[in-house]
Amino acid sequence: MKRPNMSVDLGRGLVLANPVMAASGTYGYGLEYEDLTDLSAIGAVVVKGISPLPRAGNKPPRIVETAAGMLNSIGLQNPGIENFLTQKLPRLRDLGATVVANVYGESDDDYLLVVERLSSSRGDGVSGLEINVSCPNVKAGGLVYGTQPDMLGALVAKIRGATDKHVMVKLSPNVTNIAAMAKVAVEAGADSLSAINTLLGIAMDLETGLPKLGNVTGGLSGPAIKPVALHLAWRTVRAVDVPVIGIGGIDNGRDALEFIRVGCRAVQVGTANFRDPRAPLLIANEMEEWLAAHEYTDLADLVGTFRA
Amino acid sequence: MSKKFIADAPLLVMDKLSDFYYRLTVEFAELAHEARPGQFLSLEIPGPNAPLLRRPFSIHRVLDDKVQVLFKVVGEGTKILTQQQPGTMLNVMGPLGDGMFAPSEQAEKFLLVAGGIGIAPLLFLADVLQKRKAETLLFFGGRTADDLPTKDDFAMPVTLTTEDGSVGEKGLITVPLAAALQNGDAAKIQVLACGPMPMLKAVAELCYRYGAPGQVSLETMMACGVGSCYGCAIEVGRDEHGQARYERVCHEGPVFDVNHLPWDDKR
Repeated sequence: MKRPNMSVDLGRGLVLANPVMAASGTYGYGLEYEDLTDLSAIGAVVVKGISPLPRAGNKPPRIVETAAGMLNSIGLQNPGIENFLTQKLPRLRDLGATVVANVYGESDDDYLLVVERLSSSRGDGVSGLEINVSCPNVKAGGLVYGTQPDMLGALVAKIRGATDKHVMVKLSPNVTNIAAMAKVAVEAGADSLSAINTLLGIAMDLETGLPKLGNVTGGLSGPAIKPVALHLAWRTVRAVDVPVIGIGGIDNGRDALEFIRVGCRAVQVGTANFRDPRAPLLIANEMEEWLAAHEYTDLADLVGTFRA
Repeated sequence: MSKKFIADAPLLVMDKLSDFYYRLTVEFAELAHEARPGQFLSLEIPGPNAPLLRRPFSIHRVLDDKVQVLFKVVGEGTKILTQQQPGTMLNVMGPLGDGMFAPSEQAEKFLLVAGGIGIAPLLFLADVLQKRKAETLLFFGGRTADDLPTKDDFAMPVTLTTEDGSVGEKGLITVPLAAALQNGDAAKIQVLACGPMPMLKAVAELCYRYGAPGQVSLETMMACGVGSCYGCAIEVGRDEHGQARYERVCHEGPVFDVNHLPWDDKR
Protein backbone atom coordinates (compact mmCIF):
# COMPACT_ATOMS: atom_id res chain seq x y z
CA MET A 1 0.00 0.00 0.00
CA LYS A 2 1.23 3.46 -0.90
CA ARG A 3 1.70 5.79 2.04
CA PRO A 4 -0.65 8.75 1.78
CA ASN A 5 0.67 12.30 2.01
CA MET A 6 0.07 13.43 5.58
CA SER A 7 1.78 16.82 5.56
CA VAL A 8 -0.31 19.94 6.01
CA ASP A 9 0.59 23.51 5.06
CA LEU A 10 -1.48 25.80 7.27
CA GLY A 11 -0.02 28.92 5.66
CA ARG A 12 2.41 31.67 6.62
CA GLY A 13 5.22 29.29 7.50
CA LEU A 14 3.36 26.78 9.63
CA VAL A 15 3.92 23.43 7.92
CA LEU A 16 3.18 20.19 9.75
CA ALA A 17 4.79 16.87 8.87
CA ASN A 18 1.53 15.25 9.97
CA PRO A 19 -1.84 16.69 10.99
CA VAL A 20 -1.71 15.86 14.72
CA MET A 21 -0.52 18.50 17.16
CA ALA A 22 -0.27 18.22 20.93
CA ALA A 23 -2.76 20.67 22.44
CA SER A 24 -1.73 23.51 24.70
CA GLY A 25 -1.81 22.81 28.42
CA THR A 26 -1.61 19.06 27.95
CA TYR A 27 1.98 18.77 26.79
CA GLY A 28 3.81 21.28 28.98
CA TYR A 29 6.71 22.73 27.03
CA GLY A 30 7.27 19.42 25.27
CA LEU A 31 10.48 18.85 27.19
CA GLU A 32 8.64 16.95 29.92
CA TYR A 33 8.17 14.24 27.28
CA GLU A 34 11.67 14.26 25.85
CA ASP A 35 12.45 10.78 27.27
CA LEU A 36 9.10 9.31 26.28
CA THR A 37 8.53 10.27 22.66
CA ASP A 38 10.18 11.77 19.59
CA LEU A 39 9.16 15.42 19.78
CA SER A 40 10.41 16.12 16.25
CA ALA A 41 7.95 13.60 14.81
CA ILE A 42 4.85 15.31 16.29
CA GLY A 43 2.92 17.53 13.83
CA ALA A 44 3.49 20.43 16.21
CA VAL A 45 3.86 20.88 19.93
CA VAL A 46 1.56 23.67 21.10
CA VAL A 47 3.22 24.70 24.33
CA LYS A 48 1.46 25.68 27.51
CA GLY A 49 0.08 29.24 27.60
CA ILE A 50 2.79 31.87 28.05
CA SER A 51 2.15 35.19 29.79
CA PRO A 52 4.47 38.22 30.14
CA LEU A 53 5.31 37.38 33.76
CA PRO A 54 5.18 34.11 35.69
CA ARG A 55 1.71 33.17 36.94
CA ALA A 56 1.04 31.21 40.14
CA GLY A 57 -2.13 29.51 38.91
CA ASN A 58 -5.34 28.63 40.73
CA LYS A 59 -6.05 27.23 44.15
CA PRO A 60 -6.01 23.41 44.25
CA PRO A 61 -7.59 20.97 43.71
CA ARG A 62 -7.17 21.74 40.04
CA ILE A 63 -8.35 18.58 38.32
CA VAL A 64 -11.15 16.09 38.73
CA GLU A 65 -12.10 13.08 36.65
CA THR A 66 -15.69 13.07 35.36
CA ALA A 67 -17.71 10.71 33.17
CA ALA A 68 -15.59 10.19 30.03
CA GLY A 69 -13.70 13.35 30.73
CA MET A 70 -12.06 15.64 33.21
CA LEU A 71 -12.38 19.15 34.53
CA ASN A 72 -9.33 21.34 35.00
CA SER A 73 -8.83 24.74 36.53
CA ILE A 74 -5.07 25.15 36.33
CA GLY A 75 -5.27 28.92 35.87
CA LEU A 76 -2.39 29.18 33.41
CA GLN A 77 0.41 28.59 35.88
CA ASN A 78 3.50 29.27 33.77
CA PRO A 79 7.03 30.61 34.16
CA GLY A 80 6.58 33.61 31.82
CA ILE A 81 7.96 34.55 28.42
CA GLU A 82 11.57 35.17 29.47
CA ASN A 83 11.85 31.73 31.02
CA PHE A 84 10.35 30.18 27.90
CA LEU A 85 12.79 31.96 25.61
CA THR A 86 15.88 31.14 27.66
CA GLN A 87 15.06 27.78 29.32
CA LYS A 88 12.65 25.96 27.01
CA LEU A 89 12.87 27.14 23.41
CA PRO A 90 16.60 26.50 22.80
CA ARG A 91 16.18 22.85 23.80
CA LEU A 92 13.02 22.48 21.71
CA ARG A 93 14.99 23.86 18.76
CA ASP A 94 17.81 21.38 19.38
CA LEU A 95 15.33 18.52 19.44
CA GLY A 96 13.86 19.62 16.12
CA ALA A 97 10.30 20.10 17.39
CA THR A 98 7.80 22.11 15.37
CA VAL A 99 6.72 24.63 17.98
CA VAL A 100 3.52 26.65 18.24
CA ALA A 101 3.56 29.05 21.17
CA ASN A 102 0.29 29.60 23.01
CA VAL A 103 0.02 33.27 24.00
CA TYR A 104 -1.99 34.56 26.93
CA GLY A 105 -2.47 37.95 28.54
CA GLU A 106 -4.82 39.87 30.77
CA SER A 107 -4.80 42.89 28.42
CA ASP A 108 -3.98 43.82 24.82
CA ASP A 109 -0.56 45.01 25.97
CA ASP A 110 0.15 41.69 27.68
CA TYR A 111 -0.64 39.72 24.54
CA LEU A 112 1.41 42.10 22.40
CA LEU A 113 4.42 41.91 24.67
CA VAL A 114 4.52 38.12 24.39
CA VAL A 115 3.86 38.20 20.63
CA GLU A 116 6.64 40.75 20.05
CA ARG A 117 9.21 38.76 22.03
CA LEU A 118 8.28 35.56 20.20
CA SER A 119 8.50 37.40 16.87
CA SER A 120 11.99 38.78 17.53
CA SER A 121 15.10 36.81 16.62
CA ARG A 122 14.93 35.28 20.10
CA GLY A 123 11.78 33.48 19.01
CA ASP A 124 13.49 31.64 16.16
CA GLY A 125 12.16 28.12 16.17
CA VAL A 126 8.59 29.18 16.91
CA SER A 127 6.59 28.38 13.79
CA GLY A 128 3.29 29.79 14.87
CA LEU A 129 1.39 31.59 17.60
CA GLU A 130 -1.83 30.28 19.05
CA ILE A 131 -3.75 33.14 20.65
CA ASN A 132 -5.50 31.95 23.78
CA VAL A 133 -8.76 33.89 23.93
CA SER A 134 -10.68 31.00 25.40
CA CYS A 135 -9.19 29.89 28.72
CA PRO A 136 -12.18 29.63 31.08
CA ASN A 137 -10.11 29.54 34.27
CA VAL A 138 -8.76 33.07 34.61
CA LYS A 139 -10.42 36.24 35.87
CA ALA A 140 -9.03 38.53 33.16
CA GLY A 141 -8.07 37.94 29.54
CA GLY A 142 -8.69 34.54 28.01
CA LEU A 143 -12.39 33.88 27.68
CA VAL A 144 -13.19 37.55 28.29
CA TYR A 145 -11.76 38.22 24.81
CA GLY A 146 -13.18 35.08 23.29
CA THR A 147 -16.76 35.98 24.11
CA GLN A 148 -16.72 39.65 23.06
CA PRO A 149 -16.41 40.14 19.29
CA ASP A 150 -15.23 43.76 19.44
CA MET A 151 -12.45 42.98 21.90
CA LEU A 152 -11.44 39.89 19.95
CA GLY A 153 -11.27 41.71 16.62
CA ALA A 154 -9.25 44.58 18.03
CA LEU A 155 -6.80 42.22 19.74
CA VAL A 156 -6.24 40.01 16.71
CA ALA A 157 -5.75 43.07 14.47
CA LYS A 158 -3.06 44.41 16.81
CA ILE A 159 -1.35 41.02 16.94
CA ARG A 160 -1.49 40.77 13.15
CA GLY A 161 0.30 44.11 12.95
CA ALA A 162 2.99 42.96 15.38
CA THR A 163 4.11 39.66 13.86
CA ASP A 164 4.93 37.95 10.61
CA LYS A 165 4.41 34.55 12.18
CA HIS A 166 1.39 32.36 11.63
CA VAL A 167 -1.45 33.49 13.90
CA MET A 168 -3.91 30.80 15.03
CA VAL A 169 -6.82 31.91 17.21
CA LYS A 170 -8.18 29.33 19.65
CA LEU A 171 -11.94 29.65 19.94
CA SER A 172 -14.17 29.00 22.92
CA PRO A 173 -17.25 26.79 22.86
CA ASN A 174 -18.74 28.94 25.62
CA VAL A 175 -20.45 31.31 23.17
CA THR A 176 -23.85 31.31 21.47
CA ASN A 177 -22.47 31.82 17.96
CA ILE A 178 -19.00 30.44 17.29
CA ALA A 179 -19.31 31.29 13.58
CA ALA A 180 -19.55 35.00 14.40
CA MET A 181 -16.42 34.84 16.56
CA ALA A 182 -14.63 32.89 13.82
CA LYS A 183 -15.45 35.53 11.22
CA VAL A 184 -14.29 38.36 13.47
CA ALA A 185 -10.94 36.64 14.08
CA VAL A 186 -10.36 35.97 10.37
CA GLU A 187 -11.36 39.48 9.28
CA ALA A 188 -8.85 40.80 11.81
CA GLY A 189 -6.08 38.75 10.23
CA ALA A 190 -6.01 35.27 11.76
CA ASP A 191 -4.25 32.71 9.54
CA SER A 192 -6.09 29.79 11.09
CA LEU A 193 -8.54 28.94 13.88
CA SER A 194 -8.39 26.16 16.41
CA ALA A 195 -11.65 24.94 17.92
CA ILE A 196 -12.52 24.21 20.62
CA ASN A 197 -11.13 25.06 24.04
CA THR A 198 -12.77 23.44 27.09
CA LEU A 199 -16.41 23.73 28.12
CA LEU A 200 -17.19 25.32 31.48
CA GLY A 201 -18.36 22.86 34.11
CA ILE A 202 -18.72 22.07 37.80
CA ALA A 203 -18.14 18.93 39.85
CA MET A 204 -19.50 18.64 43.38
CA ASP A 205 -19.16 16.43 46.42
CA LEU A 206 -22.81 15.75 47.16
CA GLU A 207 -22.26 14.78 50.81
CA THR A 208 -20.42 17.96 51.80
CA GLY A 209 -21.95 20.21 49.16
CA LEU A 210 -18.47 21.49 48.33
CA PRO A 211 -17.11 22.03 44.81
CA LYS A 212 -14.42 19.52 43.86
CA LEU A 213 -12.26 22.23 42.28
CA GLY A 214 -10.61 25.00 44.29
CA ASN A 215 -11.68 27.45 41.60
CA VAL A 216 -15.30 26.10 41.71
CA THR A 217 -15.59 25.98 37.90
CA GLY A 218 -13.27 24.30 35.42
CA GLY A 219 -12.94 23.37 31.78
CA LEU A 220 -14.30 20.03 30.60
CA SER A 221 -12.22 17.99 28.17
CA GLY A 222 -11.90 14.40 27.01
CA PRO A 223 -14.10 12.02 25.01
CA ALA A 224 -17.23 13.47 26.66
CA ILE A 225 -16.93 16.65 24.58
CA LYS A 226 -16.16 15.13 21.18
CA PRO A 227 -19.67 15.44 19.69
CA VAL A 228 -19.87 19.07 20.83
CA ALA A 229 -16.42 19.78 19.44
CA LEU A 230 -17.21 18.12 16.13
CA HIS A 231 -20.33 20.23 15.77
CA LEU A 232 -18.56 23.48 16.59
CA ALA A 233 -15.58 22.66 14.36
CA TRP A 234 -18.06 22.00 11.54
CA ARG A 235 -19.78 25.33 12.11
CA THR A 236 -16.44 27.10 12.22
CA VAL A 237 -15.28 25.52 8.97
CA ARG A 238 -18.46 26.67 7.23
CA ALA A 239 -18.05 30.25 8.47
CA VAL A 240 -14.52 30.99 7.25
CA ASP A 241 -12.09 30.20 4.46
CA VAL A 242 -8.90 29.78 6.52
CA PRO A 243 -7.71 26.41 7.86
CA VAL A 244 -9.50 25.15 10.96
CA ILE A 245 -7.76 22.87 13.45
CA GLY A 246 -10.17 20.56 15.25
CA ILE A 247 -9.81 19.95 18.98
CA GLY A 248 -11.97 18.18 21.52
CA GLY A 249 -12.01 14.65 22.85
CA ILE A 250 -9.89 13.09 20.12
CA ASP A 251 -8.75 9.73 21.47
CA ASN A 252 -7.74 7.77 18.35
CA GLY A 253 -7.20 8.02 14.62
CA ARG A 254 -10.85 7.50 13.77
CA ASP A 255 -11.90 10.40 16.01
CA ALA A 256 -9.31 12.61 14.33
CA LEU A 257 -10.49 11.65 10.83
CA GLU A 258 -14.05 12.68 11.70
CA PHE A 259 -12.74 16.20 12.30
CA ILE A 260 -10.99 16.06 8.92
CA ARG A 261 -14.25 14.99 7.28
CA VAL A 262 -16.13 18.01 8.69
CA GLY A 263 -13.49 20.18 7.07
CA CYS A 264 -10.64 20.58 9.55
CA ARG A 265 -7.16 20.58 8.00
CA ALA A 266 -5.46 19.32 11.13
CA VAL A 267 -6.26 18.40 14.72
CA GLN A 268 -4.96 18.82 18.23
CA VAL A 269 -4.91 16.05 20.79
CA GLY A 270 -5.14 17.05 24.44
CA THR A 271 -6.50 14.94 27.26
CA ALA A 272 -5.46 11.73 25.45
CA ASN A 273 -1.84 12.74 26.13
CA PHE A 274 -2.44 12.16 29.83
CA ARG A 275 -3.36 8.58 29.09
CA ASP A 276 -0.41 8.04 26.78
CA PRO A 277 2.16 10.73 25.94
CA ARG A 278 2.75 8.99 22.63
CA ALA A 279 -0.88 9.73 21.61
CA PRO A 280 -0.08 12.35 18.92
CA LEU A 281 2.19 9.91 17.07
CA LEU A 282 -0.06 6.91 17.62
CA ILE A 283 -3.09 8.83 16.36
CA ALA A 284 -1.22 10.12 13.29
CA ASN A 285 -0.22 6.54 12.49
CA GLU A 286 -3.79 5.32 12.86
CA MET A 287 -4.98 8.08 10.53
CA GLU A 288 -2.38 7.13 7.95
CA GLU A 289 -3.32 3.46 8.13
CA TRP A 290 -7.01 4.23 7.68
CA LEU A 291 -6.31 6.49 4.72
CA ALA A 292 -4.07 3.90 3.09
CA ALA A 293 -6.63 1.15 3.66
CA HIS A 294 -9.27 3.34 2.01
CA GLU A 295 -6.92 4.14 -0.90
CA TYR A 296 -6.50 7.81 -0.17
CA THR A 297 -3.21 9.18 -1.47
CA ASP A 298 -3.49 12.49 0.34
CA LEU A 299 -5.10 13.46 3.64
CA ALA A 300 -6.33 16.62 1.90
CA ASP A 301 -8.72 14.53 -0.19
CA LEU A 302 -10.71 13.63 2.93
CA VAL A 303 -11.08 17.25 4.08
CA GLY A 304 -14.70 18.39 3.97
CA THR A 305 -16.18 15.07 2.86
CA PHE A 306 -18.78 15.00 5.63
CA ARG A 307 -22.04 14.10 3.85
CA ALA A 308 -24.42 16.22 5.94
CA MET B 1 16.51 14.17 37.13
CA SER B 2 15.95 10.53 36.38
CA LYS B 3 15.21 9.24 32.92
CA LYS B 4 11.61 8.22 32.28
CA PHE B 5 10.38 5.20 30.40
CA ILE B 6 7.03 4.07 29.01
CA ALA B 7 6.26 0.56 27.78
CA ASP B 8 3.85 -2.31 27.92
CA ALA B 9 5.26 -4.43 30.73
CA PRO B 10 4.24 -8.00 31.49
CA LEU B 11 2.31 -8.51 34.72
CA LEU B 12 4.08 -11.35 36.53
CA VAL B 13 2.15 -11.57 39.80
CA MET B 14 -1.11 -10.18 41.21
CA ASP B 15 -0.92 -11.05 44.88
CA LYS B 16 -4.03 -10.58 47.03
CA LEU B 17 -2.80 -9.71 50.53
CA SER B 18 -6.25 -9.12 52.03
CA ASP B 19 -9.70 -7.97 50.96
CA PHE B 20 -8.45 -4.52 50.04
CA TYR B 21 -4.68 -4.72 49.60
CA TYR B 22 -2.91 -6.15 46.57
CA ARG B 23 0.69 -6.34 45.45
CA LEU B 24 1.49 -6.59 41.76
CA THR B 25 4.80 -7.30 40.09
CA VAL B 26 5.73 -6.25 36.57
CA GLU B 27 8.92 -6.80 34.63
CA PHE B 28 10.42 -3.53 33.44
CA ALA B 29 14.21 -3.55 33.64
CA GLU B 30 14.93 0.04 32.58
CA LEU B 31 12.46 1.44 35.08
CA ALA B 32 13.66 -0.90 37.82
CA HIS B 33 17.28 0.16 37.38
CA GLU B 34 16.50 3.88 37.29
CA ALA B 35 14.05 4.02 40.19
CA ARG B 36 14.90 5.51 43.61
CA PRO B 37 12.89 5.26 46.84
CA GLY B 38 10.04 7.76 46.98
CA GLN B 39 9.53 7.85 43.22
CA PHE B 40 6.33 6.63 41.64
CA LEU B 41 5.06 5.15 38.41
CA SER B 42 1.76 5.43 36.58
CA LEU B 43 -0.35 2.66 35.11
CA GLU B 44 -2.91 2.80 32.37
CA ILE B 45 -5.90 0.85 33.67
CA PRO B 46 -6.75 -1.65 30.90
CA GLY B 47 -10.09 -2.53 29.39
CA PRO B 48 -13.22 -0.85 28.02
CA ASN B 49 -14.48 0.34 31.41
CA ALA B 50 -11.17 1.90 32.43
CA PRO B 51 -11.16 5.40 33.87
CA LEU B 52 -9.86 8.18 31.63
CA LEU B 53 -6.66 8.94 33.50
CA ARG B 54 -3.66 6.83 34.44
CA ARG B 55 -3.27 5.94 38.09
CA PRO B 56 -0.14 6.91 40.02
CA PHE B 57 1.40 4.45 42.51
CA SER B 58 4.46 4.57 44.74
CA ILE B 59 7.23 2.22 43.69
CA HIS B 60 6.90 -0.37 46.44
CA ARG B 61 9.99 -2.42 45.79
CA VAL B 62 12.56 -3.16 43.11
CA LEU B 63 13.79 -6.72 42.71
CA ASP B 64 16.40 -6.95 39.94
CA ASP B 65 14.43 -6.26 36.72
CA LYS B 66 11.07 -6.36 38.47
CA VAL B 67 9.03 -3.57 39.98
CA GLN B 68 6.34 -4.00 42.62
CA VAL B 69 3.31 -1.86 43.39
CA LEU B 70 1.35 -2.20 46.62
CA PHE B 71 -2.13 -0.78 46.27
CA LYS B 72 -5.44 -0.48 48.05
CA VAL B 73 -8.73 -0.95 46.24
CA VAL B 74 -10.39 2.47 46.49
CA GLY B 75 -12.43 2.80 43.29
CA GLU B 76 -13.19 1.44 39.82
CA GLY B 77 -9.65 1.82 38.51
CA THR B 78 -7.99 -0.17 41.27
CA LYS B 79 -10.81 -2.72 41.18
CA ILE B 80 -10.19 -3.36 37.47
CA LEU B 81 -6.49 -3.66 38.25
CA THR B 82 -7.12 -6.49 40.72
CA GLN B 83 -8.83 -8.49 37.95
CA GLN B 84 -5.73 -8.57 35.72
CA GLN B 85 -4.16 -11.95 35.22
CA PRO B 86 -0.44 -12.70 35.07
CA GLY B 87 0.73 -12.45 31.47
CA THR B 88 -1.35 -9.35 30.79
CA MET B 89 0.62 -6.40 29.46
CA LEU B 90 0.23 -3.26 31.54
CA ASN B 91 1.20 0.15 30.19
CA VAL B 92 3.68 1.46 32.76
CA MET B 93 5.40 4.86 32.87
CA GLY B 94 8.16 5.86 35.23
CA PRO B 95 10.08 6.36 37.36
CA LEU B 96 8.37 9.68 38.05
CA GLY B 97 8.98 12.48 40.54
CA ASP B 98 12.23 14.34 41.12
CA GLY B 99 11.46 14.66 44.82
CA MET B 100 12.57 11.36 46.32
CA PHE B 101 13.52 10.23 49.79
CA ALA B 102 16.99 11.56 50.46
CA PRO B 103 18.44 9.78 53.50
CA SER B 104 20.78 12.21 55.19
CA GLU B 105 24.48 11.35 55.52
CA GLN B 106 24.50 12.96 58.97
CA ALA B 107 21.61 10.96 60.39
CA GLU B 108 22.50 8.07 62.68
CA LYS B 109 19.01 6.70 62.94
CA PHE B 110 16.08 6.63 60.52
CA LEU B 111 12.47 6.52 61.65
CA LEU B 112 10.14 5.33 58.91
CA VAL B 113 6.54 6.34 59.57
CA ALA B 114 3.54 4.99 57.67
CA GLY B 115 -0.22 5.22 57.90
CA GLY B 116 -2.18 2.50 56.08
CA ILE B 117 -1.35 2.30 52.38
CA GLY B 118 1.34 4.94 53.04
CA ILE B 119 3.56 1.94 53.75
CA ALA B 120 3.84 1.40 49.98
CA PRO B 121 7.08 3.33 49.24
CA LEU B 122 8.81 2.49 52.52
CA LEU B 123 9.88 -1.07 51.76
CA PHE B 124 11.99 0.15 48.83
CA LEU B 125 13.44 2.80 51.14
CA ALA B 126 14.09 0.21 53.86
CA ASP B 127 15.99 -1.95 51.35
CA VAL B 128 18.26 0.96 50.47
CA LEU B 129 18.83 1.97 54.10
CA GLN B 130 19.68 -1.59 55.07
CA LYS B 131 22.35 -1.75 52.39
CA ARG B 132 23.88 1.23 54.19
CA LYS B 133 23.58 -0.72 57.45
CA ALA B 134 21.84 2.29 58.99
CA GLU B 135 19.79 1.88 62.16
CA THR B 136 16.21 1.97 60.97
CA LEU B 137 12.89 1.64 62.82
CA LEU B 138 9.38 1.42 61.43
CA PHE B 139 6.34 3.09 63.00
CA PHE B 140 3.24 1.80 61.27
CA GLY B 141 -0.32 2.77 62.13
CA GLY B 142 -3.67 1.74 60.73
CA ARG B 143 -7.36 1.93 61.55
CA THR B 144 -7.55 -1.80 62.20
CA ALA B 145 -5.34 -4.89 61.93
CA ASP B 146 -6.40 -5.09 58.26
CA ASP B 147 -4.71 -1.79 57.49
CA LEU B 148 -1.15 -2.93 58.18
CA PRO B 149 -0.21 -4.62 54.89
CA THR B 150 3.36 -5.96 54.45
CA LYS B 151 4.22 -5.23 58.09
CA ASP B 152 6.05 -8.55 58.30
CA ASP B 153 8.30 -7.72 55.36
CA PHE B 154 10.31 -5.17 57.33
CA ALA B 155 13.45 -6.69 58.88
CA MET B 156 13.77 -4.05 61.60
CA PRO B 157 12.14 -3.11 64.90
CA VAL B 158 8.50 -2.40 64.09
CA THR B 159 6.06 -0.45 66.28
CA LEU B 160 2.41 -0.93 65.36
CA THR B 161 -0.69 0.99 66.42
CA THR B 162 -4.33 0.62 65.46
CA GLU B 163 -7.21 2.96 66.15
CA ASP B 164 -9.35 0.05 67.35
CA GLY B 165 -6.57 -1.59 69.37
CA SER B 166 -6.78 -4.86 67.41
CA VAL B 167 -2.99 -4.89 66.91
CA GLY B 168 -0.33 -3.00 68.86
CA GLU B 169 -1.10 -0.02 71.06
CA LYS B 170 -4.52 1.52 70.62
CA GLY B 171 -4.23 5.01 69.17
CA LEU B 172 -2.30 6.96 66.60
CA ILE B 173 1.21 6.14 65.41
CA THR B 174 2.39 9.63 66.28
CA VAL B 175 2.25 8.76 70.01
CA PRO B 176 5.12 6.21 69.94
CA LEU B 177 6.88 8.35 67.33
CA ALA B 178 6.85 11.31 69.74
CA ALA B 179 8.32 9.11 72.47
CA ALA B 180 11.12 7.92 70.17
CA LEU B 181 12.00 11.49 69.20
CA GLN B 182 11.88 12.64 72.83
CA ASN B 183 14.12 9.84 74.02
CA GLY B 184 16.67 10.08 71.23
CA ASP B 185 19.03 12.76 69.95
CA ALA B 186 16.51 14.22 67.53
CA ALA B 187 19.11 16.15 65.55
CA LYS B 188 20.76 12.85 64.59
CA ILE B 189 17.45 11.27 63.61
CA GLN B 190 15.73 11.59 60.25
CA VAL B 191 12.01 10.99 59.92
CA LEU B 192 10.75 9.64 56.57
CA ALA B 193 6.96 9.40 56.33
CA CYS B 194 4.09 8.54 54.03
CA GLY B 195 0.41 8.40 54.88
CA PRO B 196 -2.77 10.44 55.08
CA MET B 197 -2.44 14.22 55.31
CA PRO B 198 -3.53 14.55 58.97
CA MET B 199 -0.84 12.03 59.95
CA LEU B 200 1.81 13.82 57.90
CA LYS B 201 0.85 17.09 59.51
CA ALA B 202 1.20 15.56 62.98
CA VAL B 203 4.57 14.09 61.94
CA ALA B 204 5.72 17.52 60.72
CA GLU B 205 4.69 19.09 64.04
CA LEU B 206 6.75 16.49 65.92
CA CYS B 207 9.73 17.15 63.66
CA TYR B 208 9.52 20.87 64.49
CA ARG B 209 8.97 20.26 68.19
CA TYR B 210 11.98 17.98 68.61
CA GLY B 211 14.19 19.49 65.93
CA ALA B 212 14.38 16.38 63.79
CA PRO B 213 14.78 16.65 60.03
CA GLY B 214 11.91 15.06 58.17
CA GLN B 215 10.62 14.24 54.73
CA VAL B 216 7.08 13.35 53.73
CA SER B 217 5.60 11.79 50.61
CA LEU B 218 2.36 13.38 49.41
CA GLU B 219 -0.52 12.12 47.31
CA THR B 220 -2.86 14.15 45.07
CA MET B 221 -5.02 13.69 42.00
CA MET B 222 -2.79 13.70 38.93
CA ALA B 223 -3.38 13.91 35.21
CA CYS B 224 0.00 13.83 33.42
CA GLY B 225 2.35 12.61 36.19
CA VAL B 226 5.36 14.23 34.51
CA GLY B 227 5.07 17.91 35.41
CA SER B 228 3.40 19.13 32.25
CA CYS B 229 -0.18 19.88 33.29
CA TYR B 230 0.22 21.51 36.73
CA GLY B 231 -2.94 19.70 37.86
CA CYS B 232 -1.42 18.21 41.02
CA ALA B 233 -0.13 21.49 42.44
CA ILE B 234 0.01 22.09 46.18
CA GLU B 235 0.70 25.30 48.02
CA VAL B 236 4.26 25.52 49.32
CA GLY B 237 4.11 29.00 50.81
CA ARG B 238 3.33 32.61 50.00
CA ASP B 239 5.31 35.40 48.41
CA GLU B 240 5.70 38.93 49.81
CA HIS B 241 2.34 39.94 48.29
CA GLY B 242 0.51 37.09 49.99
CA GLN B 243 0.23 35.27 46.67
CA ALA B 244 0.33 31.48 47.06
CA ARG B 245 3.26 29.65 45.49
CA TYR B 246 2.54 26.22 44.07
CA GLU B 247 4.66 23.23 43.22
CA ARG B 248 3.80 20.00 41.46
CA VAL B 249 3.51 16.86 43.60
CA CYS B 250 4.43 14.83 40.49
CA HIS B 251 7.55 16.79 39.65
CA GLU B 252 9.04 18.73 42.57
CA GLY B 253 7.61 15.92 44.77
CA PRO B 254 6.12 13.58 45.69
CA VAL B 255 8.60 13.69 48.60
CA PHE B 256 9.06 17.09 50.23
CA ASP B 257 11.11 18.26 53.15
CA VAL B 258 8.76 19.08 56.06
CA ASN B 259 10.26 22.59 56.18
CA HIS B 260 9.27 23.18 52.57
CA LEU B 261 5.53 22.91 53.23
CA PRO B 262 3.34 25.46 55.05
CA TRP B 263 1.25 23.03 57.19
CA ASP B 264 -1.27 25.87 57.67
CA ASP B 265 1.39 27.79 59.61
CA LYS B 266 0.97 25.50 62.62
CA ARG B 267 4.71 25.05 63.12
